Amino acid sequence: MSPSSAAAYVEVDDATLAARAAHDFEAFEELYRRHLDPVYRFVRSQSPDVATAEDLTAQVFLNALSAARTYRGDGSYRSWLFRIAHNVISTWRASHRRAVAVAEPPEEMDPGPSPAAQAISRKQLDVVMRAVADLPPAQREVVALRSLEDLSTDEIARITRRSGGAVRILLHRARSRLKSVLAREGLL
Amino acid sequence: MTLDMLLASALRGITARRGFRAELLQALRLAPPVVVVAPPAPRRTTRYIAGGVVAGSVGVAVALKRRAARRTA
Repeated sequence: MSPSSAAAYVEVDDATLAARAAHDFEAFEELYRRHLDPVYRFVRSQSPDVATAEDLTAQVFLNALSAARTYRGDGSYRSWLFRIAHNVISTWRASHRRAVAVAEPPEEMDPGPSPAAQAISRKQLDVVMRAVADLPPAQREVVALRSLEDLSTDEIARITRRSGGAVRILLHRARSRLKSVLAREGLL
Repeated sequence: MTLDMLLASALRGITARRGFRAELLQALRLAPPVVVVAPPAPRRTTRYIAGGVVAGSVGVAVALKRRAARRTA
C-alpha cells in the first residue's frame, strides 16, 4: 500500500487510518471523505444557518487533524469525531446563546432524497425541522445523534459527557415533546 | 408515519453546499503560510487566501497559520 495514494486507503478501516492520520495526510483525507457528511448533518442540525454550519464543520476537522496524535483507539473514530463536534458546538453555543438552531429547513436539502424523505412534503419537512429547532439544545443534540447516526445511548453519553440515564431522560423528553407537536400538526 | 421516520426524513436529507467539501479539504491540506484577508461584512463566514486556495473562515485560517508557523519553525 502506497502511503501517498488516497485511493489505496479506501478499503482500510477507520482505526488503521486514524493511527496514520497524524503523519499521513492521505489517511486523514480518507477519514475526511467518510465522515464529512455525517458530521456536517449533525452540525447543521444544531446551527442557525449554512455559514455557521460550515464554519463549525471546518473547525471540527481542523481540530481532528491537529489532535490526530491524541486518538487512542479506545472508541470508534466516529465517536471521537462527534465528540469533537459536540465540543465545538458547545463552545460556539456558549458565545451565541440567543442563536436559534435550524429555524428554517436547510436550503441545501438533498434534491434526490431517500424513499422516506420523498414521502413527506416540503411543508411537512418545515414543521418537523421547526419542531426540532424549538427543542432545548441538549435535547436537540441527543435527538440528532440518535436519528442521524443510530448511535446507542452509551455512545451518545460518551460523546456528550453525560450519564446513560441522563441521555435516556433527554431522549424521552425530546420524543414526548416532538410527538405532541407533530400530532398537533397532524403528522402523527 | 412514525416519529423516527419523520426525523430521519428531515435530518438525513441535509447535505453540504456544493464545493464546500473540496474547499475545506484543500484548506486542511495546506502547509504554506496562510494569508488572512478582510472578511466581506456582514457575513460571519469569511474568505481567506490559503496558498492560492480560497475557502473557509477566519477562525480556521488563523489556526492554519499557526500550524504552518509551527511546521516551518
